Amino acid sequence: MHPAAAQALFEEETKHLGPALCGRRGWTMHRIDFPIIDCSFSASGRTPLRMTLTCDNWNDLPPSIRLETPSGEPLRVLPPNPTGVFHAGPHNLTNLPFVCMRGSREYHTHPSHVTDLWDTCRGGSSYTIGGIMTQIWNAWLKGTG
Amino acid sequence: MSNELGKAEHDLAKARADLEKAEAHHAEAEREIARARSELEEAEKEFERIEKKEHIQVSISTTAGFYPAEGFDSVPEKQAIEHELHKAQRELRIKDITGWIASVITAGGKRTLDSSKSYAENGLSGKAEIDWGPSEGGGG
Repeated sequence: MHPAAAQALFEEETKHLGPALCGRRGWTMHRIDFPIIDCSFSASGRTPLRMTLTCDNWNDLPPSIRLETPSGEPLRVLPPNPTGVFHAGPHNLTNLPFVCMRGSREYHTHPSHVTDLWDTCRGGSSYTIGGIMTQIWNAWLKGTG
Repeated sequence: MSNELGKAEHDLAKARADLEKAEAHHAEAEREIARARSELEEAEKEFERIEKKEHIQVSISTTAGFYPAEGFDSVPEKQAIEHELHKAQRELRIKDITGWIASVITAGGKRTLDSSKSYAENGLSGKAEIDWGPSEGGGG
């Protein structure tokens, strides 16, 4: 994907991730400019989850998703009671816990899933940038802690 | 001549009496119209009250935008939620909604809705902010 085309698609897909949606969902957008989205999820009684999505070469590649502490440091140990998509790792490339879900670069590059190709879901409505973030948010909401 | 004058006076008196009668009928008819208008206004207000009572204000949020773009749509409480979701899908140009869930976020957490059922059957009334998007992904 040409960088300008990747940026244009990124901007088109993220234009609705604004204060209205974030307010409803309990998302805090720390940064959103190509190719980075730095966002926290909050909910009553929960420790916020922060993550950074790096969407370089979007959407030839899925976003690389780094789980973080509320202050933005890489998360080295998962909080207790996560749901299935949050994998304790360490991931073979990042050496960190990761999002083990179709649409995450770490999933598609993990030895257990390299045959599950990004191209089979790329471009689908559930695999836009917002769609991937929504899936992770819904997974996080199902957990506790 | 005096006969003719007498007849003319008689006709005039009759005409005056007819005019008075007609004016009385006209006044009565105007009162009837005013009563009917008042009843119609009351009926319209009652209809609006019933309609408002049986409607819900709905806004759907997705990462592709909001439906409606601003504010809320007034829809019957007895209508299936999926009806409004399909309108949102068309308006927001969402290609594929396989695996998408509609939910409301409450103080107690996120509650998934059965979109094939009505707002009332889902326990919604008044105003509903419905979140719509793909459920948690598989993998792991």
